[in-house]
Amino acid sequence: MKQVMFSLGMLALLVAGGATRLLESQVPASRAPEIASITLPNLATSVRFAVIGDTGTGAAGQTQLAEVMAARHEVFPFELVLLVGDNLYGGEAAADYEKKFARPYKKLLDAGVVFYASLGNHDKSNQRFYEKFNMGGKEYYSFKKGTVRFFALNSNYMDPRQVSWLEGELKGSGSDWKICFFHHPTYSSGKQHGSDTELRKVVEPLFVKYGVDVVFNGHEHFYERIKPQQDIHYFITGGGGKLRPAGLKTSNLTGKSFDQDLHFMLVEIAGDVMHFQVISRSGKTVDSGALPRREVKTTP
Amino acid sequence: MPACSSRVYGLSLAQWQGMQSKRDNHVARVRSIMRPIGYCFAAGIIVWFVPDSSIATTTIHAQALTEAHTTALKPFEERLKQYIKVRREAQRKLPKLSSESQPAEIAAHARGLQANIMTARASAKPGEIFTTEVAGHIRSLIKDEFTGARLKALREDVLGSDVKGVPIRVNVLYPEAKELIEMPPTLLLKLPLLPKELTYRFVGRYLLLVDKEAMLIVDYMPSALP
Repeated sequence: MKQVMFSLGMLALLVAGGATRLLESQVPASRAPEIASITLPNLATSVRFAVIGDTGTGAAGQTQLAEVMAARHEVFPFELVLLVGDNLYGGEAAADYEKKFARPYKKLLDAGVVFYASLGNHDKSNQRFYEKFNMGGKEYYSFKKGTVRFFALNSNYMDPRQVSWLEGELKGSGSDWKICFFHHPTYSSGKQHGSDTELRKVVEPLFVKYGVDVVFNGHEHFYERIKPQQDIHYFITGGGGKLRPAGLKTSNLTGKSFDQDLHFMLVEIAGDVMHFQVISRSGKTVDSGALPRREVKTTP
Repeated sequence: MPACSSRVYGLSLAQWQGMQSKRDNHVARVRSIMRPIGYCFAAGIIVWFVPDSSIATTTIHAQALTEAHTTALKPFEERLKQYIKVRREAQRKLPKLSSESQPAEIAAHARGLQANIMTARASAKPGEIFTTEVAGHIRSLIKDEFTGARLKALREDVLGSDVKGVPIRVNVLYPEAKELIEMPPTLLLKLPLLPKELTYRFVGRYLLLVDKEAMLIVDYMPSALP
């Protein structure tokens, strides 16, 4: 009897073990999103950066997207991030800088990634003094990385002083690539805001005259790659913290659009080609491509 | 003048002198025509090589503002200067911010500046900078610039923005949580240029003067948006 009971017990253990292994094999090993692989050349000699906009909520979505960015940074070590405005929504006390910026992007900041901010309509001028926004105490500024000169503009208040500064900077820049980033898009298919034609009248002639290659904007809470306008490539990347689903209307401006999830953009400038990849919060690639450098045609 | 002789190249002296006189008159006439042409040509050469700055800060306003507006807005400039003087005195008492400041320093500086300016301007009243006459001229500048579809678009943007709760009073804070609506660049090219410490901002149909570091409402005018 004892032997029978022992045998039954051993059999029960064997059956239980087998059942457990069977069940385990059917449960996913991890629930983390599968992040799209990098489609960019990823050369050490390139200028590599990310672009995000309308981030400053301090909410879970912003942090989740920041995690995906940090994961991609391990494979594609971009050295800087362009912020296209609305960096802090609501108040701007010390705790807000921590909650809406420093904490979500801590991994990237700790890895030495440098953020360069521009101001949105929800941002106050005093952000220009914040060390980690690298604005040099100015509402508009420019800086150079490799063959690229970046121009951060304050589209909230494009007064004659700034316009004059911009013209001088563009004219004096001998860089191969000229990239402008600011909050309000001059071209947009957004239902809420749409193209900022008043701003376009003032800045576009300068962009065309002095050979700007690419413009990054935010303000609209979605992604849109605009078809080239007078040989200039425009991107709206305003889904870094806030989202406006179904925020686009059908337009002949659109090259590609995405308004179903938060996103960020990775960019690599390798020689005369700009490669880009747009990745959503769920880790999927929503757009990618390669754009040649615009040849400068000096306006007589 | 040839040596005195009764004949020069077969011509009598009188004939010679007549020819010289005609020649001198001709040369003088040609010079009177060519000199200004030459000056213009020289100026053109100089301008050709001068850097083309199609948009220069002061040039834009010189072109945009008529003489009447410029004269009428002189008092506006004077009152702005007075405000800046008060502001600089208020700021002098505070530690300076750098481009590497921490959030706590930025917030403390803003609070200190607000308090100092509010104390110095405790008796400020609406219309001290946007006087009746100045406000009238600014209204006409805005009305001239924005008409038709452009005005409709501007009204939609301004009246649809998140500024509910912004107090329309002088020497009070512009709420930090409220947005600062984009000012149309085409309008900023036409309005009087402000000192860099100040900005124009629409709130509803009001036009405010806002100190952008202190986030204080310095003055306002009604019915600015047509």
